[in-house]
Amino acid sequence: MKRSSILDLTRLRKNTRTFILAPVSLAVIASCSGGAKEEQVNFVASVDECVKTTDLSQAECDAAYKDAVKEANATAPRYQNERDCAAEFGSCESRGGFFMPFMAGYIVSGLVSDSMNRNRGYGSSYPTYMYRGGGQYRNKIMTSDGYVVGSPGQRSYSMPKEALKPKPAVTRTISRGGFGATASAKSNWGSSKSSSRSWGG
Amino acid sequence: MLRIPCEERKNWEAMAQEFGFTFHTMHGEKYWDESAYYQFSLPQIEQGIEAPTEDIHQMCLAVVEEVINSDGLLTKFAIPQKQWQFIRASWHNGDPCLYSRLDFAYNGEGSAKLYENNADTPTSIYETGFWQWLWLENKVDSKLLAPHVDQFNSLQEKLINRFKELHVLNPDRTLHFACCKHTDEDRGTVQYLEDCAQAAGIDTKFVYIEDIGVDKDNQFADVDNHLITWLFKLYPWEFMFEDEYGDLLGQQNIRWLEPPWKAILSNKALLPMLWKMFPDHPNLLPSFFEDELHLVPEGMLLVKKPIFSREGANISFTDSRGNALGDDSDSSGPYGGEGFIFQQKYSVPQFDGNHTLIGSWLVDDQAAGISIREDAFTITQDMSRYLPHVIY
Repeated sequence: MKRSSILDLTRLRKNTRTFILAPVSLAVIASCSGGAKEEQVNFVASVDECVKTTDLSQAECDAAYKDAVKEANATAPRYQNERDCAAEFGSCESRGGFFMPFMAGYIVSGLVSDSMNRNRGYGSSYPTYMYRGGGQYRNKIMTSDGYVVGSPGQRSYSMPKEALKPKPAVTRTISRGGFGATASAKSNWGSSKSSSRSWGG
Repeated sequence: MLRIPCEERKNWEAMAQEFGFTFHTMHGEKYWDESAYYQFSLPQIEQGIEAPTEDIHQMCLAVVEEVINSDGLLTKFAIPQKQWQFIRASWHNGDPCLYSRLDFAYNGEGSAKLYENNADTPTSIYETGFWQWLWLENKVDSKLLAPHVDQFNSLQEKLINRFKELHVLNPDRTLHFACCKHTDEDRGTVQYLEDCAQAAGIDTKFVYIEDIGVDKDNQFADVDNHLITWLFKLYPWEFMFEDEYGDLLGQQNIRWLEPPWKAILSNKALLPMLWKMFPDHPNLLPSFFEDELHLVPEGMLLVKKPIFSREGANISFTDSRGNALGDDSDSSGPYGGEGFIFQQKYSVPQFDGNHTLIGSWLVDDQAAGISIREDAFTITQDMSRYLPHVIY
């Protein structure tokens, strides 16, 4: 046979869906959690607490902390001014032109309980922040993209795997619109059909 | 190779709605046309199109190898000097590619002749990989075509498999998909490729080309200020090079689809280069740079094509010395400032008065299927119609 055998029609069926996708918001992640696979994670406020409350060694707790700090540098929420940051997260630090909250502990996932036979006792670690804004999330533990882990005090928390996926690195854009001008200049040429020309070929 | 008129499926427009095929009619004209289909024999497909497609792809890679290290040839290809390092790095790193489409004049007999290589931003992939596949399924299901009737079209299957391979190379990156605003056709094409990437397990996100931003470190970001680290762009490299952010290219840790070295293949200067390196190849038409017209045999009619022309714009016919024939079938458009190439005039075949062009798809280096475009004119433009095909 010279053609594809079976194609997944469900994926391609758009119904009345338009092509514009909504960003994956916190609400979407949260509502997915019912059906998605859950994972048990541990929240620790410090390396010391990590050593005391988990099966991880000092070296592993250190490594997990460093991973989380690295991740925080890339993915922590960013604000133009300190006041906006403080309104949501209390204490914030300046990072060359923007502000981000101080990390308030970290979570470790994929703890390996069999300590006899392991290279590294955890899967991943993630930075967390304490939300200090108003409303129902006040004083709750939050991840970089706004997933609410829960209130402090529990040894372990159940989180959807979706929320533990690698977070996109966030930056601060200083300009937009630097691509596309060439196409726009070319489209001025045939005004009768400029509305829907393809830029492919 | 035959053109066979047939009944349209009664519910096809409702199905198009259901599947989000929004551009089947454009500017009030029919684009998807199932009032007829083309029929091929298996040897016509396998020897006539599939094998030459894979051969030509290898020949094209040999051209890239030749051009990439030559300042003189990159200049002839009208590629800005400030981009040479960016393009060379992508070739020397072995940056993987996704797909391309070779356009052929072929009437079922003799050798298919290469018109050009759409190696950077080929379109009509949704119509090919999915929509004409569905058309055949429906025709067979309703017993209007026999169960053994086949189609040269493993495009979607191969795309998903290729995305799986690319996912292994980029396990932790989100693949951003981008196209320009105000074109339903391009938005639909990109949505389809995004669907294929998701089927391969890749995390994807869409951003319009015009909405891409830059941070203080010259990294590119989407509207949510998420860094772009892997980008499929349905937007030609030669446009990106001209745009304001073109000067920043090469400073980002971005994996590109198509990779920057495709700028050499989607370029009409490829055609005289192929002819120089593989003279008299049965699937090539004699082609010449502007300074090579003395090599053109007396009496050979030529087609003059801008190096960066898209969708058949700015193409004209000339005599063997490059003098315009004043043919009223010349096409208008905004291209040509970058220079031209000449290719032997060789008309696509006509079926029932329609000029028929075959697009032959490659996923990476594998031939993956064909698309057929019909036009009332000699030069296929973006308003030509798309017709399905079968192997019988």
